Amino acid sequence: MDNLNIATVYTGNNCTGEPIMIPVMPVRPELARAYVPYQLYNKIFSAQESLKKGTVFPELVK
Amino acid sequence: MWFYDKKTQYPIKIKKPDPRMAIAILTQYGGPNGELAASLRYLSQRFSMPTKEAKATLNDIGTEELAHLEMIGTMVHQLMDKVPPKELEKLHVDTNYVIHGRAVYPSDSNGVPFTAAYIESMEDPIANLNEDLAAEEKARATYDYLISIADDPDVIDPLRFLREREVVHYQRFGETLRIVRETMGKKKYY
Ligand SMILES: [Fe+2]
Repeated sequence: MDNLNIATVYTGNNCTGEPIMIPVMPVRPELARAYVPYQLYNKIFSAQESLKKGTVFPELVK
Repeated sequence: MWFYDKKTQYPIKIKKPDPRMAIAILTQYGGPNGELAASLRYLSQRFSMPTKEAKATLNDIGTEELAHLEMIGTMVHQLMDKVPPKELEKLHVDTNYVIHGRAVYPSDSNGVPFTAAYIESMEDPIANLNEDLAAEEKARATYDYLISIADDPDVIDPLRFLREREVVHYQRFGETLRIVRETMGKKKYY
């Protein structure tokens, strides 16, 4: 994943706030910090497949 | 407040009893890396979270962990149900039987009762979220161990589902950690 990819993060409670655009990883990561990239939303599984897999997001199947 | 749905999050229909597997899985009910600990941890930590996103994430995941507690309880019950006492003795799960019968009690697999000492809730949201990331990995590892000793697909499938949920939760806590840090730091993004 390219660190400069831009993710859309839906803010607020239940994602009802403003969507913000943010790099998936910090442009200048700091030492002594843990980072997980923001997810980029692409394709999703069907409902049946999601129940079997435990997630609707193919990229999160690990 | 909560709404209750009269079904488990993932269907559980175990046809073959397996008391030893029941006791193994019991640790995800009341053990150190179990679903009760996860739920109480997140639902307690949410109050001191500094952003709406962080509060909502802890609330949603803490709620889902309660649904997982119900799944685990259902599995333990179905694996133990109606197994004759003599059979339990042969399988070396009789010590559990003489204390609780075939009931589902929140302990780990060795019978150590659940304790809130398994979890922490601090005012510092960064400390909490780092604990939460670790908790998800420990739960994921426990499900890997359980899957490695299971052989019935009726048991393995729900365990796989629960394992994958821990992976998804890890991702969400990681994103939450960044939202919280970036909001607290008021750096140039968000
Ligand atoms: Fe979890």
